[in-house]
Amino acid sequence: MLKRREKKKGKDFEKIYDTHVEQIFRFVYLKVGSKDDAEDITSRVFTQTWKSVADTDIKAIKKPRALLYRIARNLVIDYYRKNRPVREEESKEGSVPTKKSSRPKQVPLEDVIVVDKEMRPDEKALLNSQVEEVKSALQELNEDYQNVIIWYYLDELTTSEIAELLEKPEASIRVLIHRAVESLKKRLGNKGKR
Amino acid sequence: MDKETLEKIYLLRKIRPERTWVSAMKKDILDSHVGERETERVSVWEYFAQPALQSKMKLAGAFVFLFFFGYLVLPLLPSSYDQVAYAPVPEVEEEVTEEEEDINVVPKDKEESVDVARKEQPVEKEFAVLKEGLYGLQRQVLGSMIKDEGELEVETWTDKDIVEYYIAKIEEEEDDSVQVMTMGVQEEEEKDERVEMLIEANENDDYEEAFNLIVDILAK
Repeated sequence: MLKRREKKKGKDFEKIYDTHVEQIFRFVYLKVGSKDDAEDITSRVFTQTWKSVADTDIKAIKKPRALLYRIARNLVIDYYRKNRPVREEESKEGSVPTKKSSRPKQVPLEDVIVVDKEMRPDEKALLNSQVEEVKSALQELNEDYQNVIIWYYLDELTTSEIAELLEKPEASIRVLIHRAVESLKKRLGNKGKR
Repeated sequence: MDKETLEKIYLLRKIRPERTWVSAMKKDILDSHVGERETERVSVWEYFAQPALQSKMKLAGAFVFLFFFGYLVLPLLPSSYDQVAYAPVPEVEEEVTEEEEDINVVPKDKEESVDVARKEQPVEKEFAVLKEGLYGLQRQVLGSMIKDEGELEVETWTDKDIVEYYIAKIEEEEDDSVQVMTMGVQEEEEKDERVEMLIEANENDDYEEAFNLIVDILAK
């Protein structure tokens, strides 16, 4: 009977995993910027979630997505604490020395972007650059602005769900979304002008 | 929000993890947790011996004990409830009719046995029992009168014997015109009525009434 229950719980967890793994990965990746670190953090998010529901009925969790995002946010915060600003002493050959940055080393988006098979190379390159541009602009925003843009536009969470995650009133979330978009737009405009 | 900015944001939706990595990670997570569970598996006794379950087990045991005690043992114990529940039902007193109220009325089938029983009782005892009240006095007087008349066997006479003796005497007086017994009775009808009542009382074994009538007849 124990095995049967475990099997059923495993299937329930699989459903949650399959539904939210891409969202969590994208959320974490846009935060940390590294594919390897994003995969590691995402793995830990689901491992912690699986352990936390080990002794309870997994179906009793009314909002699994909220739980996953909470764990992901905490792990990202821990990641930032461990990866404090590192001064880049080495620079690539021929390139301009980079400024001091608090962000981890960037990796090519080719490893994480889903590209159409029929896309030409120049189209792929254009897509990569565009995504990189938006990603960079997003990472320049504060944490709350990043979160609301990712959750509202990419993961399609409702304002009430975002309010619950950020523990803020729903009206504040709408204002936050507006300000976040305006801020992003401003940065994208600045990047475009460069 | 303008469309251009929105489209740029939507470009970020193309960021997705590798499918092979997703499948591998899922398997690793589920397998790792299953592995942990297998090593943590304990026996049934060890499971119930956990401190966290002890208080619950004690509480469950107390409820089970109270249930069986209250359901099985308590009904077996004698209690005031049983005494009340199984108390004897009081007998309902049957209504006694006027005929039954006459306790001196002996059913006809028992007359012979009663007469035999009464004849067998010694007269002295009869006289002793009947001393109280007018009934006893009357009988005593009548008995002594019979004795005075020379009836030697009067000691064994029953009430019925005495009454029948006097009825016979009264009837003899009527026939022989003897005035001894009927002296005092002024009117023929009244005397006849009393004699009839006397005869009837004798037939009904109402000896108290019969003695009253005899005394009344003799007194007048």
